[in-house]
Amino acid sequence: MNFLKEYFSDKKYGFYVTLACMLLSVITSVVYVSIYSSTRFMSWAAFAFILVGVVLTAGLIAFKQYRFAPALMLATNFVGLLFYVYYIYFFVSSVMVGIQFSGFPPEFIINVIFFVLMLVASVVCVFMPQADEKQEKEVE
Amino acid sequence: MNKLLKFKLLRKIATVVSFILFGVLMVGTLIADENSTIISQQLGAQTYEIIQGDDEGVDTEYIKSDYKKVGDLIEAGHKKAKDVMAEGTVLLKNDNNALPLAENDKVSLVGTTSYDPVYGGTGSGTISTADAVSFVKSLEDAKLVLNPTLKEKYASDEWKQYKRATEGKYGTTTFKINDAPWDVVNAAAGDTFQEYGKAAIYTVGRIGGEGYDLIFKGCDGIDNGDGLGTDYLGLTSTELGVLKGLKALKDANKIEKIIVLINYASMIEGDFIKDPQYGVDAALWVGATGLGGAAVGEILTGKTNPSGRLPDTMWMDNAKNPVNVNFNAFIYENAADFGVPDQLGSGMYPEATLSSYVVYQEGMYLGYRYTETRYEDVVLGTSKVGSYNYDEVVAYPFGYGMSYSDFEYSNLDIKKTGDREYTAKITVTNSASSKLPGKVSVPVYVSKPYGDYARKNNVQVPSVELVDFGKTDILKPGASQTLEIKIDEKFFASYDAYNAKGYVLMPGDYYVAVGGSAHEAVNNVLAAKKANGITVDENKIVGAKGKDSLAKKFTLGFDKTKYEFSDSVSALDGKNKLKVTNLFDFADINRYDGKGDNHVDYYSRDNWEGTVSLDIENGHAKVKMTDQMAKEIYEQVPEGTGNYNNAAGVPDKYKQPIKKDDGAYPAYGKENGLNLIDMKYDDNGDPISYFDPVWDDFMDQITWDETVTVLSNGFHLTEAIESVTKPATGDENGPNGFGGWAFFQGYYTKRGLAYRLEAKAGHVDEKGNLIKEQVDPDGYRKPTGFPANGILAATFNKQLSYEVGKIIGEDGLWAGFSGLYGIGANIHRSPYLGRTCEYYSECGTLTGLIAAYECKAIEEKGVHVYNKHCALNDQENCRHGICNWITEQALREIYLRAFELPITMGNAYNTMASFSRFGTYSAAACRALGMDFLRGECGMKGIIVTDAYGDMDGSQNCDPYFEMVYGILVGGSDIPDGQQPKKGNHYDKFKTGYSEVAWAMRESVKRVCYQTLWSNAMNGYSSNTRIVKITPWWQVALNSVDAVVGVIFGLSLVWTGIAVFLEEKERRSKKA
Repeated sequence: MNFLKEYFSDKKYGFYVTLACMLLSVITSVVYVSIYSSTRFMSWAAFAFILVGVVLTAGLIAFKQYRFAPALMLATNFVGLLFYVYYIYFFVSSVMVGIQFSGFPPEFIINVIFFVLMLVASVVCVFMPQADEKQEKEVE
Repeated sequence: MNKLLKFKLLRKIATVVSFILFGVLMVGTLIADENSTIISQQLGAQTYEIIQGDDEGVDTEYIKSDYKKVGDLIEAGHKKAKDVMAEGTVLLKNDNNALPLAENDKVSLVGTTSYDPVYGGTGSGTISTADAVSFVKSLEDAKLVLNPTLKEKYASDEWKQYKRATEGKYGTTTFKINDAPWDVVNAAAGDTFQEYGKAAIYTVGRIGGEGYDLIFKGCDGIDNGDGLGTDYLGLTSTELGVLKGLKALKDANKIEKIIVLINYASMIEGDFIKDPQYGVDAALWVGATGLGGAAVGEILTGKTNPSGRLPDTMWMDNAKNPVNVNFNAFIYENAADFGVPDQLGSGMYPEATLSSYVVYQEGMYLGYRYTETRYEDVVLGTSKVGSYNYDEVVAYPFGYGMSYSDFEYSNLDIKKTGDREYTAKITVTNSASSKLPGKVSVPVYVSKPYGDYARKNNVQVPSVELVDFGKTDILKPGASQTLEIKIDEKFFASYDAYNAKGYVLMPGDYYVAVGGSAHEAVNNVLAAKKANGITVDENKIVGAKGKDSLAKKFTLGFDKTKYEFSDSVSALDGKNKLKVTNLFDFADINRYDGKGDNHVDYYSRDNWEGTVSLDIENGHAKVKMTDQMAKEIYEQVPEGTGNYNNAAGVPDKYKQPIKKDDGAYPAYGKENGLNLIDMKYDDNGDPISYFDPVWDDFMDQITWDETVTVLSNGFHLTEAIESVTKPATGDENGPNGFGGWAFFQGYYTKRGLAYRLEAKAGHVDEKGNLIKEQVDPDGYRKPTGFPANGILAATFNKQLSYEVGKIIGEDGLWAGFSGLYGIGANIHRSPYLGRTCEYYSECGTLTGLIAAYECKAIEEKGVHVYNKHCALNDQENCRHGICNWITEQALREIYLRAFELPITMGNAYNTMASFSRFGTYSAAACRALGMDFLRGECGMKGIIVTDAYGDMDGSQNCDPYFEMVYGILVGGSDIPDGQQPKKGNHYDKFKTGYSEVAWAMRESVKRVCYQTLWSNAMNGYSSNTRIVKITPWWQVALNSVDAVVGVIFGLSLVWTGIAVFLEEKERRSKKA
């Protein structure tokens, strides 16, 4: 318990936001795969980028490279988002211009919300300090 | 260097923002590149440059216009639309010669629709109303003086609440008829009714359109207890209240007469017209007026004498129309047992695309074929005819239409004048006592024998069926004209799906009768039958007693060989006429080999009471899904694309991927020096046949990528092919002509004659863009939107239909469109069909004949029709993927006849396949339809486009039910009306190992090229013309932005990299 207390003692809010963002990324990828895995709108590259990003971010944190962790996560999450967009745009355009306008189903909207939240959180992390800089240097 | 460490926040912002922007731009550019054609099309940007060679003295305007200026064409179009209204408007009632009114009569125009007319439909049936003539203008132009108080009130903001309205976010899902209540109208008008009391003209308006039918919707129509609920096609209590109020004024001598205009593309319930409590003196059906509204005032004042005839039966009460019992989408209750999703999508128009069905249980007995046949059986005393009172069923029959003049018919002489031709000669006289000149149409009907052969072989025989018609010129009172109407004996033949499996002339007596209405015709036939010794109970005759002199009997022997071959040479080999045989057994649930335990009792003359149900809730024919149905349904989505509501996707046992093969592929990308224009004529000046081997050399030049491009994008166009100088074509929507919702540039697309003439006159800049100040401003106006096609059918005038087609063809020529998504040849199966404005009639023969002449003229101007929606898109409810079960006889004699005649008589080139299914096979995947019938029997030369493809492939929130590659391989379809991705499980998968698919793709591209070659798209092209792909301006701009943002992002990265490096260096030095 003391270890944990000590570990988190030098962490700033940004670090916790990063952890939350990692969790959000995992949830987003799970939601994504559960909705689209059986469809032609699924991008496995998007799924992979997000999850690999989470793993690498965790690795950087493990190696105490806190300042680089959010940047990496932003990069992988954003590339994942781009793959998602590239694979879903045909659906979006069909819905928008189709005669039989069906509107966007709830699962689509939920998925979009998760991706947007993930990106916003990733961007916010980058601008937030992760750990006390002095302590971090001392540890190093 | 340390300066780089400053502005940390700015650096971060710059890097993150430029990173995101760069990423968005990269994906955006990728997507834009994939859709560059459509984007360019929407932006009016050129994607290829036309390089003209040395063509001095060569006339490349192969298809010429009859007009010098676009303004002349527009005026001619508007006049023709008015002509259609003038001849198509149907006078239903005219008690005591209530009409015509006189010029300067003071009248009160009542009802919100009087001030807000219905010009067309919604969706595909929408027309531009910029040049439309309102009822107010039309009546005032005809010198009627309108009640100014009412005119002001109906136009006021205060009364906007009474306008027709729809509810819903998109499209029309809920109908609000509204109208101002009588107490409000009366209070507002007060004593002015008396001053403007020569007549009260009340307009009843309804509107329909694409995507929805008019039944079972939460509208505010009246529930008259007929089981249909609040009925959009009955009058509302508000409307009836207005009529009652007007009747009270009439009774109080404050107004002289009540005239009703019915402003809807199809029929509303007609009981109120005959009901004395509403006091209607005269009624006109004016359909949806398009740009022809100017005719209405002239008809009311007698300047034009009405001569239209109803193209549909007007029912007293739609609950008496048994078709409505089977006019809905039903779900196979056991679909889930086979793993077939039976849930509706969650969209605006929920549909089950894999598990809905409808049975055309009425078979041959649709519309007048039902009302008149059952009536005849009542009069003939046929057993099991059941309870049927014609007077309570039919308000006005098919073909009904009055005139201000009285016409007399005499000297009917019908002779066989050719191997398969009969000629009806009849003298028509405008009675000397008539006050006005006028014209009249003469429909001819046949009554076939319903004898032992028919009974034994399940051939159903309506009492009378329209076979042709003629129309007089304008006859002055006392003047006569003898019409000669040629009748094709093939219309005497019935399709026998059970024994002969082809068209047969059944043995027995045939009566050829002229009628006017179908009811008059059947009464004439009954009179002739009585004269021939058949027992007729004259006490049961409804309407005027028939005249045996207006019907002639012919006795024919059995013949199953005379019509055993198709009329046209097959487009599959260019040489032979095909033997006509059953093609659609699989669409008749009783003949389908996967029917299981299903059986349907179609309507039968021998058992009306046992086969006809009016139970709107439970009376429909029921079908259960079988294993074979499920297998076939899934076969059409071989790659299993899209969402499935059963989550598990396609059950394993129904997965049927397209099989690989090791056959040789076609050649691609060879250089044989042939351009598309070179394929038109040989060295002798003769047209090169589609089957000429030189086409192989031509096709070898086209690359795989070009093949895929053409076949993956057909959204209102066919793509250009650089290697063979095939221009892109523009194919636009237009069931009522090109005057629809497109054409935001008017006539000025760079493909059209309007543009070429301006360019020739030097009214373009160096980039070829028009100089607005110099060009003819009329070119920015829109083409003509014609009245609803029902009005055109109501003219019963083939020549007029041809002239309408000429205008549409000219509009295409001037505006640069060589394809028309129209005409609409589906059938008014029920009045509740949403898209009646796009279609013609309840009769396949009337539809086919009118459409054939229209198509012929359109085609003559190099505009290829894509007649739609072939076929069985006779309802909108669940139109996506609905299984239609129908007898082959009804299919051929009603529904497909409407598409067949435009091809065989009108040279219609192309077809749009419907969303719906023949049995289990979606139209675009139905080989029997695309290859065997349209190309084989009918000889259709061109291409088949799907309906809006995005609605079929699972992109919308419904289960996908059709895949384009399968359609090309199996169904004879060619291009999607939309886009098909090139990647994934689509075309790129078939680049190797699927030679059968590759050859089918090549054939489709060949058909696309062939139909382009024989269209106006080749105007301006010679053998020396080349097209060269260019990057359109918007792509240049996008790439420039990409580069700039890329540089900024790169610099940000460098900045960040150096800063991080320096920070690390500084930190390490401090630590040391």
